[in-house]
Amino acid sequence: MVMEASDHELVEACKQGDRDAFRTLFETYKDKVYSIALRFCGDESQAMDIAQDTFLKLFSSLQSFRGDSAFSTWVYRLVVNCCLDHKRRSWRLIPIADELIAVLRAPGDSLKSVLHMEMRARVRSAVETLTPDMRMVVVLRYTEGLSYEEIAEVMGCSVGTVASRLNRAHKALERKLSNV
Amino acid sequence: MSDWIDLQLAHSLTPTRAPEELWARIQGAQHQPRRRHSPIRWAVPAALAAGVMVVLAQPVRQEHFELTAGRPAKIERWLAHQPGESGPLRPVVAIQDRDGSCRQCHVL
Repeated sequence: MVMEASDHELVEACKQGDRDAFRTLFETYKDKVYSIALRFCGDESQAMDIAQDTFLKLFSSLQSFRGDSAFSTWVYRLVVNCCLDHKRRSWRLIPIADELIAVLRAPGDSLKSVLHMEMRARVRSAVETLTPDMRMVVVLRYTEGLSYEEIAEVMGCSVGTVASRLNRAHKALERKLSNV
Repeated sequence: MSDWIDLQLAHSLTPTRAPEELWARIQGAQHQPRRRHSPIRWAVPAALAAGVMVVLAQPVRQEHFELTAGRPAKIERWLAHQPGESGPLRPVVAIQDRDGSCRQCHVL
């Protein structure tokens, strides 16, 4: 049955044109893809565009997936490339507007939750000021919980580079958030 | 590494659920005809590139002179513009033709 199939079986079913398999693959990865896109670009509308592009690329190039790496790694690579491509094409002019709107829309049940929300908004805004490479390492580490080795495989760099980018990101974020 | 930053990042960059309309958007985009590249987008750079190639391929044109012995002033002017050529023209050495040979360069 397709719903219980492993990634490998799903991919094979997709290659045969099984529409249910496509849908199952989408359901399996949609939250991961959207989360990475949203945490990377910080904008819901752009995250939807990136997620859409990622799945269109995924479905159109599924025939070329040979299984050399884990399917999840391949999906991560697709979304990372889409994020970086999207970043090259567009500049976000008002990076904190969405966070500000989110704070204003927050239910006024408690001051604590509003403060937490504001803190998250500040952290996300600070993350958005990192360079794309550093930001992507941070997103893969904290949003997806990937290990240094997994991040290195997804981004096509060494584990040392991942550690260095993460270290520099932490230092930059500490400086930016030191007055909070 | 600061534990505080580590904690804040873990709290702030949590995964989130994809909107329900994402599948519908993908379905819609899949059924749309693929955008074709406008020929104008390619024609303009191609024409410019071709123009540049034509200009670069042109040999440096030189003014055509008909150097005739009867117009020494013109020859001198032309020589003055040639690199490595300077000074007045040497006087013409009269060629003596005796026994069918010029005795300078040709032996007939």
